Amino acid sequence: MSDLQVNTKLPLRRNRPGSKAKDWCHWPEETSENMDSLYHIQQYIQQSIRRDSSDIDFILKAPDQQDEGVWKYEHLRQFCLELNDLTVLLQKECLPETCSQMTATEQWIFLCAAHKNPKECPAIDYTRHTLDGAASLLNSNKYFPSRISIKETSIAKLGSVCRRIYRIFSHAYYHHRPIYDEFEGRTHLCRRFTVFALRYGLIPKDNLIVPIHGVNQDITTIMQQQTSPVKTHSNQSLKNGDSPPSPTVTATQAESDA
Amino acid sequence: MDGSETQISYQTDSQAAASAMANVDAQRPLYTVPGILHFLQHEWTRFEIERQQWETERAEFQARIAFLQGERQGQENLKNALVRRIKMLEYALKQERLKFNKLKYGSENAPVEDHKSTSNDAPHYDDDENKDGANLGYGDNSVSFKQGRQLLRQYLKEIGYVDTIIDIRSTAVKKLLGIKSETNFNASNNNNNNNNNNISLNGDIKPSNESKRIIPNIVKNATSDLSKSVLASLVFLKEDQPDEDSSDDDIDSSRIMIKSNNGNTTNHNSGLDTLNDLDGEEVALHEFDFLSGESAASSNVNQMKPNENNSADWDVDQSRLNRLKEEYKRERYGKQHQHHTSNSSSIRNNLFDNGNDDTSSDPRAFSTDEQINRGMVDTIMFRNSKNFMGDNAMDGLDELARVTVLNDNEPQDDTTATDSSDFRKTWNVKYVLRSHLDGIHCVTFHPVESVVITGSEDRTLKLWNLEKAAVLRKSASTTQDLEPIYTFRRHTGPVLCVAMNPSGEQFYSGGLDSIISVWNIPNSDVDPYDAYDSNVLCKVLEGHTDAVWQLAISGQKLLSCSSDGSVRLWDSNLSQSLQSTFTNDGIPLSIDWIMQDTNQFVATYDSLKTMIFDAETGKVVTQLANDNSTADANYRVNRVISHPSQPIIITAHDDKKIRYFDSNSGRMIHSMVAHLETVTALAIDPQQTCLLSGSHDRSIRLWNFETKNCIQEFTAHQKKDDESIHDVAFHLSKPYMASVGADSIAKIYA
Repeated sequence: MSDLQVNTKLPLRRNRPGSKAKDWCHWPEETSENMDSLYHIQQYIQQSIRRDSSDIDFILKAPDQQDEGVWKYEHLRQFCLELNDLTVLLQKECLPETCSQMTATEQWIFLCAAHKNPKECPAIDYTRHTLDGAASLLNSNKYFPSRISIKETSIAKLGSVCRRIYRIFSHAYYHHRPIYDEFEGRTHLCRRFTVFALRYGLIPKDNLIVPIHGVNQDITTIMQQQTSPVKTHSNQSLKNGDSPPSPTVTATQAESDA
Repeated sequence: MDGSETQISYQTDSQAAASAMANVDAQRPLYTVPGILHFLQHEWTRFEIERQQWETERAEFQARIAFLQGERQGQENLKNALVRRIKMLEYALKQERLKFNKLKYGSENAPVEDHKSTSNDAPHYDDDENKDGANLGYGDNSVSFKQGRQLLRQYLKEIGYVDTIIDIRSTAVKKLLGIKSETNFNASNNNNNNNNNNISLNGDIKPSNESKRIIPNIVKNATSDLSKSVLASLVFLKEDQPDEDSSDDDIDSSRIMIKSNNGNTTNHNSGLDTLNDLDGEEVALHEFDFLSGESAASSNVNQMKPNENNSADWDVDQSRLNRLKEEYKRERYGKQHQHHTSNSSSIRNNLFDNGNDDTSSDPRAFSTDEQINRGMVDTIMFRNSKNFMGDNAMDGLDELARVTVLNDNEPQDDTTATDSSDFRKTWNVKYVLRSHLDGIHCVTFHPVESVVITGSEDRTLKLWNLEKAAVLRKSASTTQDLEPIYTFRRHTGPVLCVAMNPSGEQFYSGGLDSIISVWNIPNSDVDPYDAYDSNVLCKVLEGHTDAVWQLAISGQKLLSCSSDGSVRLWDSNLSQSLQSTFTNDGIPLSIDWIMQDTNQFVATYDSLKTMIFDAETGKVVTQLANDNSTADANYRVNRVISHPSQPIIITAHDDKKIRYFDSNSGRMIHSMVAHLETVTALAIDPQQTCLLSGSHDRSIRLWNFETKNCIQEFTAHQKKDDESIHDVAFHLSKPYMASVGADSIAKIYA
């Protein structure tokens, strides 16, 4: 069987040792029907991204008769995977000294849910912990024992993962704009994530505070009014602790539901 | 929670209603708005209360259902356990009766008859077991039996066992069982009485006592625990009982056995060989053990029937037996300790004395059975006092379940023990490491600690502490999930290779992003959610201009090969990033240091050449012979490793083969088709006795290094695209081995 493959020179979808970076996963596309491995959905999504990472609609368009839960799950895995790249970029610049709290606008301080008692981790720790926690959850044998069919109760977990990892985008956008712009221009990841979250109702539109052209641009104007410089921001949020919107408290509640 | 929502909606409704009512008010002064509101509120509250009540009731019923179901399950299991017990006792009795017959005849009377009866009896036992009540066997030799029983009766008279007692007892039994009186019965009862007396009187012989002591408890349980449905079904079965001579017989005898054992403690009966008796018991228990295994497996209906009969019979006799039970309990508390110690030793002794040619007889099986025995006795004894059947049953079952688990494990332990004595360890998956989001390309162990590092296409490397997991979750399951204790992020593309510094303080990783990262290994107790420590990333070695595909380290000398066509040697203190570059025609695919001479390394190229370089001079020392004259592209080597102590180089090829070369001469020593697909990974265990290989055919295989035979094979990883296993590794000092694959999973074997 494998003999046949080799002899007939069927291109194997395989990165052999010594492959050049430009040849990585450089094999002919395959239709989703022909993918027969256990991980065909991941394969399909990654193939779509390789094809054109800016073609969000194509990437998010599920094949026929695709189980929606699994589709959402695999996409979320892919988001977490690609966010590792953004994290690498942030690690250089987003230091505990400059970003001592996970914030986007001054409205919220996000508490890190990776700990037994959610706490105010510096932004970079929040980012790392959230991604680590998400990777563990998405690989958990308890909640996601199979990548072919997923329990309804486990699907419900995806929403909170989405909410948390979105804060990485929003932090990058509001505090490390050059990094965000460079990364977004290359990967279109935030755009894809925003469309994804809206399409599957994983995050309320009001909470999607990173303006994406053509998706939630109307928010831009509102946000621009609220956005304030990074330096004054943390002081403000502390002062605002008791003010009617009561950001800290609400954020705590929102987080501790995890 | 529901209520509050309802309330809110109600309030808005009521406001609307109120405004509507304003018009009506004028015409009907009796209805005031507050009055209506009050009424509505009142009604709503009433409904709410009722709803709560219903909810509570429902919850109660659900709990009740769950409880009853659990109870039923428990009783079912207990019933099966009892079947085993009763079968065992039946057989033991038969054997003892047989022995007794033999002895009696042997010492007093016609040896011919004796021979006949014994030889006939044994096979017929089996008949009874299998055919359940088909009375063929007893019919054949009933004459000799009658004679024997008469003799026994006479003997009993002699020793002062009055006939009337026996008669009274047997008639009582028969009344209960609804059987016409029959002389044979009396005789058999006599038999049993004597036999048991002998045993019970002898202080050393405990097994029979033990088993007997179970009876009252079993009886107690059977009577109180077995559900009515079972009993109802027994009514029908009872009607057939006159035919089931043998089983009735047994019931009789066992009941009387209890009685006699209890009541006649002053009775003296000498001249019996105690060892012999024990042998009988021994064989009986054994046979039983064997049978019960079968019956449990096939849930033999035949075997169930007599048991059900038994329980019904016990039920009838409850009051009496309860009394007996009390007596036994008292007796037991006095003897308990003594029993346990003397039991096992005497049984084992007998087992060996026996010289039993029964192949199924092994001490392990037996002792397990005994454990069950004890477990049963203990739990039932203690729980009985509570008289709470659900609890009782379940606890007893717990005990049983535990024993069964032990039993299951034992054969495994045995095999591993024997295997290790052969220097042939059987590997099993111990941990499944899931946390990577995409295929894992490389794995390495810490040289000393139980720590693993994996590198994945998801751009991260993860650090796993196997020991931490073992402490955190001591689950009974064979494979455990554990979380990584640290995630290394620096690569912006798939991580392709990793190498551990022999000091265990640092490791290196190379990726598609053409960088080599140097990492300080965090403490193995690090909390995965600690603050980010930027010192973990020691430095980044830049120099390669394309994917770094493999790293090799020897001492402090780090070697890397990249698809940019170069092999680079990095300075030992890594301060000056680049020491020397080796280029040849083609792209280096894999490299390794020649272990016994650390100034040489082997590199294999996509031009199908494999050669040994001198790292100092940069010159080619030897070129390995290529047995593939046609230059078939499938000859391509995916991994090359050098034997740590012998001048042997091993290569893993695309053409499914593993080849062995002599590194001095460059000649090929051996070639073998090792897998069904491209061989991707190789590793040699620290004892240098076996070779581990991985392939895209999803399997990893262990090979005996000397004989080149496959020792063990695992289907380890699933395929993603056409890739499966990317890397395998051995721990240098601990019995761990690892495999990683495109399915994002790493497996640790131990």
